[in-house]
Formats: sequence, structure tokens, C-alpha cells
Amino acid sequence: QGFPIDIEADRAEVSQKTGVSTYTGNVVLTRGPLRLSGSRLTVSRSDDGEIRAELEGEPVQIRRDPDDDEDGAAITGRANRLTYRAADAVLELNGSAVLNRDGDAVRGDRIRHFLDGGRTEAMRGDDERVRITIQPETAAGAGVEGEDTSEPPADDADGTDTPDGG
Amino acid sequence: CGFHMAGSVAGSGLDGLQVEYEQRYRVLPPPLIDVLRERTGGGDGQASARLVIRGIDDTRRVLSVSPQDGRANAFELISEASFDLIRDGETLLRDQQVSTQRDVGFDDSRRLAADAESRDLRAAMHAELADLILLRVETALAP
Amino acid sequence: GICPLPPGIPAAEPGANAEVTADQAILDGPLATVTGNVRLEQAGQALTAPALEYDGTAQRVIANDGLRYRGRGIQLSAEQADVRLDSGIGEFIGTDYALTTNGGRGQAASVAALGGESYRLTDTTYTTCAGDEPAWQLAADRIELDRNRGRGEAFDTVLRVGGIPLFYTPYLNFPIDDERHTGLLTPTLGHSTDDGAELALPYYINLAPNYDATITPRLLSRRGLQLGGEFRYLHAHHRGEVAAEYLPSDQRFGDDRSLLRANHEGRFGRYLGLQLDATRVSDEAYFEDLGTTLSGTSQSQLQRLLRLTLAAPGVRAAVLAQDYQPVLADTLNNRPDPFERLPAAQISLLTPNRGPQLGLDAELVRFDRNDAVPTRRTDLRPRLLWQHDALGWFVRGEAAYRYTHYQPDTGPTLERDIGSASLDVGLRLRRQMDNGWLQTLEPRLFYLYTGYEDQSALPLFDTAVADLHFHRLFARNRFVGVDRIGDANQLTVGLTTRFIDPASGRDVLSLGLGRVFGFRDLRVNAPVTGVIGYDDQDSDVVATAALKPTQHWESRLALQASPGNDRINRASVRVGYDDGPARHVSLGYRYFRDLRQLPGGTTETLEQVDLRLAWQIDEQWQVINRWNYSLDNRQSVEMLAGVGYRPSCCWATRVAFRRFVRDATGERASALLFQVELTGLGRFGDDIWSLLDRDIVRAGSQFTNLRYR
Repeated sequence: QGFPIDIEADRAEVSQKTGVSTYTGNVVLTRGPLRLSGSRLTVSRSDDGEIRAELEGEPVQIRRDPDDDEDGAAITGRANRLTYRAADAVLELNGSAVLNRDGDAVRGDRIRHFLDGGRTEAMRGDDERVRITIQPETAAGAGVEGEDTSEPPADDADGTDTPDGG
Repeated sequence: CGFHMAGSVAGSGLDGLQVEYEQRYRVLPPPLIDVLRERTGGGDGQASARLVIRGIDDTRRVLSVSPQDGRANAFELISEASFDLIRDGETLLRDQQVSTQRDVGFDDSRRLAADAESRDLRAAMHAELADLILLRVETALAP
Repeated sequence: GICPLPPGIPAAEPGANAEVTADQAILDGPLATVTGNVRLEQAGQALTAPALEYDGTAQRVIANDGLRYRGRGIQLSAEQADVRLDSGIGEFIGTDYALTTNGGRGQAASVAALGGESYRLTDTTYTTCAGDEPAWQLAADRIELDRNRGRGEAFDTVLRVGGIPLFYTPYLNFPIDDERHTGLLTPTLGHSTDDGAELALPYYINLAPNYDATITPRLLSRRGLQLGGEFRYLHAHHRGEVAAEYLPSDQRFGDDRSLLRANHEGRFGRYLGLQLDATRVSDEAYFEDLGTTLSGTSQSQLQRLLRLTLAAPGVRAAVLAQDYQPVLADTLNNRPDPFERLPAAQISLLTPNRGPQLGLDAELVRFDRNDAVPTRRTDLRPRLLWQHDALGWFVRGEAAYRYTHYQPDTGPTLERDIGSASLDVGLRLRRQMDNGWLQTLEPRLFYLYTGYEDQSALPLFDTAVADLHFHRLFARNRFVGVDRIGDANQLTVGLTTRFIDPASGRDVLSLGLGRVFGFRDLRVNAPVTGVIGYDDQDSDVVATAALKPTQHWESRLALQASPGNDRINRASVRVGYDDGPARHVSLGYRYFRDLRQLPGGTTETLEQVDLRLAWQIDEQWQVINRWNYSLDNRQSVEMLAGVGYRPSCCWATRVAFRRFVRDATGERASALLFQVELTGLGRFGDDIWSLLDRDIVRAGSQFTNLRYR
């Protein structure tokens, strides 16, 4: 987990007093294989040094490339809002959340994904239930390397079908 | 009194009608096909319409049994045919049914004669089916 | 139709991916733990549960607190399940199941899905009835359902009817769809006074798409075990069937009983056809004792015919061998058997040109019978024919010479030669009536001259007087057959008219009237008693009428009356309503004066009324009735009255009373017929409905006329 966090954005405001920095406009946060992009990012440091990133976007795009030590599976995803707790490597997706992991697509109102170990938890919202599409074993392997092949059907709420990593 | 001869209405199209009947298991054509081909001039050359005989069904039912010995002494012969009429690719008549019945006495002590009578009766019934079919074709082809 | 199935979950769309919807899901590696009214769909299968675990790699679903499943021909609810959705292998515990194909349902301790669409149900019940108190139900240790073979097999089974255990059987086989699968067909279980208890277990073997066979062991408690077999084949230009029945040492008859039957028809290329129609039984009483259909039991002779036919433009020929086996179980009457035609050769030639045509009908037959001298008859009939059909009118002129030669093996030869000429003229007139209907009017004149020759010395092989139907008025010989050529100098006048409804093209009313007017007394007559339809010179008047006011109603009348001695010789009336097999009623009256000669010289006049009724009164009740009442004997000849009751969608019962003429002595017999059908399981008892339906027999192809018209 010792990768540095690198953030690019059109504008940045850093507030020494509160320790909270805000980035807006084409924001991209990368940390090793993980890449998050969105329109607005706020990074804060809790008093025990815990780094916490809050990302918003139309939607926020998530991608984690396969790394060599195999424990973290490759994923892609998106959501209206995202919270990243660097220390315990947890992604919290909120609002029309979609997460694609080794060929399977998980959709729900809230999705929590543990980057180490690959555990994913999805919860339903008021109207939108959790929906999972699992590909039969044979096709799943191919899904990892290539582009995210199992883009969920077009009736997805936000409808934008932009390939991530733009 | 208003009667005119059949076929005198222009273009009744009966002659030159192409009669089609597929016989997979027999070589002798049933009498219905003979009469239809006779009445439509054999359907050679520029046939404008096609009369496709879909099926011919000759059946027989025991009509009555002799009180004396329980043997059948009267049969009801039934002949049915179904046909389509197609002109220039367009189906004018589809799956039309015609049928005719006759009651015939049966004397089993003259079995060969009874069989000959049944053959003769079937031929007459098929001739009547041909009349009924050609009447429907006439009304369908009439302008 | 099958009984309504218990409510099931909606079916799934086919598709390889597994689609899961739920309130909450936790994915850890390949394993997904899903909770909150979960629905899972994969490969056409659907599964709903409060919670389940799904292993993506093995496509395995585990649900432990209740689930409902639908797919692969079955829908069920279970307490627990462990199923692999890809192969369909797995197990459901504590189930309520229903087969979506044939409506079979019940409770089973476990349903093991064996892959494909086969299931093994243990400690289970099976019925096709809806609701909690099924009219009948099987309770079995194990039921194997194999959708590929379309069969169900139940082991250690108790059949409960109305909640009362009826019988136990270690093994029961029943159909679960209606395709042609190899396996046991519906068993028939019945009882009759002659045969005692009867159990038939037909086993069907689907050898290939165009071959199949049925083996039917039939146990008759008072006769013995009969084995029946039937083999059918269907090729592009050949089809037929071979059947055999064998009953070794029939206890009531005291000897072996057997039946052999073969019919075949086929063609070799464009011109050559072959036909076989042969039935042989071991003894004359065979059908009476073992026959199952009315048309079977009322036959008097079984034909054996082998015929090779040739049909080419202008040429029609046949070579055949034909004989008959009498099946009259009476020894007292001396009813003559038909002659055998061993062999016979026929040829009919007609030049296929327009305008005058030359024709020849020739026949060579060797007649034989055990009590007669075999005789070879040669019949030649060259003719000149001129026919023209111009739709509105037609004319057929014919001049013919006929030479017939009889050559008995011993005894003098006999000859006959007669000339004849005929002219047939007809008009076909049409009129459009003011109400739009089409009326046809078809007058027809037919003049016939045939020379006279005394033929009383000639033998009678295939000749008799024919019923005087309307078309017989225009026949070139008032006798049927070759042995008698009726002398004639006569003119037939005939008229038919039809009224056609333009909308349906149906001939709503058809009328026909005709008579033969003779110019000379008739001298040739066949030494047969009874009505020949002619008096000294003229024929009877023949009138026909047919009224079809609607597509379903039809009434027909045929009348043959002799004005000379002012009496009716033939009358036949029928009024009927027919809207399919379950809505049919018809009433008929028939009067045939001197129909046939009975043993002992008397002639039988047939005057009968007959009623035929098959009516579905409502959802549950159906009435069938067939009744022949002979007016001159003032007694019912054949009576079948039955009621069908189908109280629910899963069982029906039929009860019928039948009274019929049992054998050649005219003795009556009656039988009470009873049948129960447990839909989806089998029929038990006498096959009442087929007794009615199967009396319509397909006429053999030997009814094709060889001669050109």
C-alpha cells in the first residue's frame, strides 16, 4: 500500500487550517494501479493521520489494473459519489453504483469494495435493487485483460457509455 | 329466362386450368383427377390458374347391420376432397372442402359384384366432386 | 388440456449469464451471498428465495431457508436446494412440484435433478388433478421422470382414488408427454362375459422416423395370453404395415387362434404401382370372439389381393390375384363364397388424341372356387369414341363391339358377342338470380342401343344388379360385371339443378330427376330375385335432393320409385347437424326393398331408422348414442347409448350400454361397457369411444377404376 497518491485537476484549493484540500475540473487521482476520475474531489486528513478522499462526478469513474501480487483483482466502476479511505483501502460507491469485477457486474445504490482481498458488498436503495450479472465461468477469464466487455445494458440510469480512462 | 351456357362468360378461365395432384404411392390417378383433367382440356399450355388438389379421402362406414346375421348389409360411402385455387401466384381459394355421400346396399353373397359396384359408385362420386369443385372455381374466377 | 398448475414464479428468459436481483449482496471471490427476496435467472431457469449463495465458477446455487424454482419442464417450491444451473444436476429437499408439460404434480421428500430434463422423486405423490383433495393420486417410494423418453416410472406405488387406496403395484409406467416415444402406451383393463378379465399392455417401439412397431401382449383370463404385433413403414414412395396376432390354445375355443394382416402400396418410378391388401385368420369365428371394432365384427369375407398396375398416357393395365376367406361363424347356411380371381389381367387403352379416339378394354380372368369348375373368361371390348367437352355443353358418342369367351377346364366353351352404340349429350346452363345466387341447370340425354343375346347359359362370376343410383341411369350396362350385358334400346332423360350461395360457394340446394325410357321390352335379366329397378321397358324414376342451409346442417333424400306398379323400391333420407366430432347428430331412414337373398331363399328387405348422436352438453357431460331400429322386424338391431362425465380436468368416466347382433344366428347380446380415464396416467376399461370412431374405415385403393370412361 505504500504507493504515493497523485492528483491532477484544473484547480486546487488547499486550506492549511482545516487540512482539507479541494480539487475541481477533470480531477484524476491515481495511486499505484488505482485510478479515480471525477469532476470534484475533497481530500481531508483526520487527526490520526487517516487520509480520506471524497469524489463527485457525472459519474465518478473507477479503474484498478491488475497488479502482479494477484490479491487485488482488477476492477472498473462508476457511481455518483465515491469515498476512498486510503488506509484500509476501501472504496464506498454511492448512487447508481456499478462495479465490474472479473466479468461480473454488480449494480446497486451503495457498493463497498475492499481493494485488498476483493470483497464487495452491495446494498439496495429506496427504488433501485441490487442487480448482479455473472458470466458463466468460461467467458469470465477473458473479461479481465480487455476493455470492460460486460458493459451493463443501456437501460442504465446515467446512460453515458464513456470508456473509462478517457 | 336468363340462362346462359357455362364458360360463355368471357375469361371464365376454366379451360387451360392446370390440375395438380401429388401421388406418392399410386400410379392410377383417382377418378376425380381424370374428370377434372377431361373437363379442363388437360390443362396443357398457357394455364392461367392452378387447381391444386390437396387431398382426396375415400372412406366407408357401416350404415346398418342385418338383424338376421349381424353382417353389414348397407354402407355409407363418403368421398371428400380439399383444394386450393391459385392464379398468378395469388391464392384465390384456400383449403376448400367438398364432400359427397351415398348409401349402398351390400350383398356379401355377391362380393365381386358388390366390389365392382363400389368402384363404379366411387367413380360417380368423384365426378360429382369434380362438378362441385369446378362450380366453386367458376364462381371464384368469374370477373 | 391439463389441469391449471399451482401458481409458479414467472419463467426466465433464456440466456447464458446469471442475472441476480436482491436487496443485498456480498461477493467474496467466486461466492456471492445474496439476501432480501432474491431472484436468480440463468439458462431459462428462474429461482426465488429469501436468501441464497451462488458460486459463480461452479454455477452452483445453495438455498437453505425456502426457495421456488421453475425451469427445465418443472416448477417447484422446496425447503432447501443445492443445484448446478449449467448442467441442471442437483437436489431439492421437501418439495411441492408440478410438471409444466403434462400437469403432473404432488409433494416429494426430495427431487433429484439428473441433468437434461429428468428427475428422480423420492417418497412422493403424483396426480394430474388440481386442488388439495385430488380425485386420484399415486403415492410412490420413487418416481423417475425422463423427459427424453417421455415416460414416467413409479416404483412401489399405491393408487388412491377419492382418498381410498385402490391397488398397489410394484411398478407403473405412464406417459408424461404425447410424442412418439418408445415405451408402454396406455394400458386397457376391461372385462367381458366371453373373454373374462382383459389386460392389454401395448409397447411402442419408435425404430426410426419412418419405422415403428407396437407389441401388444393381451391377457384374456378365460382364453389365455394373446401376443399382437404391428410393424409400420413409410418411405418416399412405399408405405404399409404388417400385423400379426397369436393366441396359443384358446381355452374356450380349444385351439390356437391367429391373424395375419399385411397391406402395402407403392410405386416404382412414374408408371408402375404395387398394392397388397391381405388378411387371414385361423378360423371363421375369429373376429366374433376377438374382434374389437364394429367394422371388424361385421365383415363377412376377408380379402387377399395382390395387384401390379401400370399407368402411362393412353395405357392402363393391371395384373392381380385375389381371393377371399369367409368369416361366418355359422355352418348351417350355404352362403356361396366369392370366386377367386387367380390371376386376372386387365388392360384399357384409349388413344390420347382430340377428336375421335380408338379404345380397347380387355380382361382375362381365371375364376375358381372349391365347388365350381375353374373357368377362364376372356372379354374384349374395342370401341370408337368421340367426345367433346366445351364447358357449356358436351357430347360423347360411342360405338363398341364386345366379345366374351368362357373356357372352363372341363366342359364346353361359351361365347357371346354384342354390339352397342350410345350418344350422350348435355348442356350446362348458368343463371345469376336477382338475389345474387347462382343457379345451374344441367339437362342431359343419353341414348343407348345394345344388341340382345340369350345369356342365360353363361355363368355368373362377378355380375349382379346394381342399386339404381342417379348415375346408373347413364350407364352402358344396367348390370354390374361382365357376365350379363343388358339389351337396350332406350333414352335416358336427366336433369340436375343446383343453387349456389356466392359468398361461401356452397351448393345450398341440389335437385336431380331422371328416368330411362325404353322402346322395347327388356329380355336379359340376371337370375337374381329382388328389385332390378326396371319394369318391362322403363326404369324406375330416380329423384335426389340435398339441402345444406348452413355449413353445419345437411339433409339428403334419394328416392327410387316404379311408376309402373306404383311403389317405392328405394328410399333414403338423412338429416344431420355436424360441427365436429363432439357436436354431431343425424337421423336417417332407409328402405331397400328386396335388398339381398338370405339363406333359405327368402329375400331381406331392409327398412331401418338410425340415429347417431355425439354431443358435448357442457364442460362435464357428453352423450353418445347410436341406434339402428329395424322397422320390418320391429326390433333394434344395434344400440349403443353412452354417457361421458368429466367432472374435473384430471379424470373422466364413460358408461355405455351396447346391444348388438352377436353372430350369424341373429342372436342378440348386450354388454355394459365401463371406462375410466385418469388423465396423464391411463385409461382403464372398454374403449367405448373408439368403438364409435373406428367404424369409419379408409376404403382400400382397389376401389380405383382401371377402365377409361
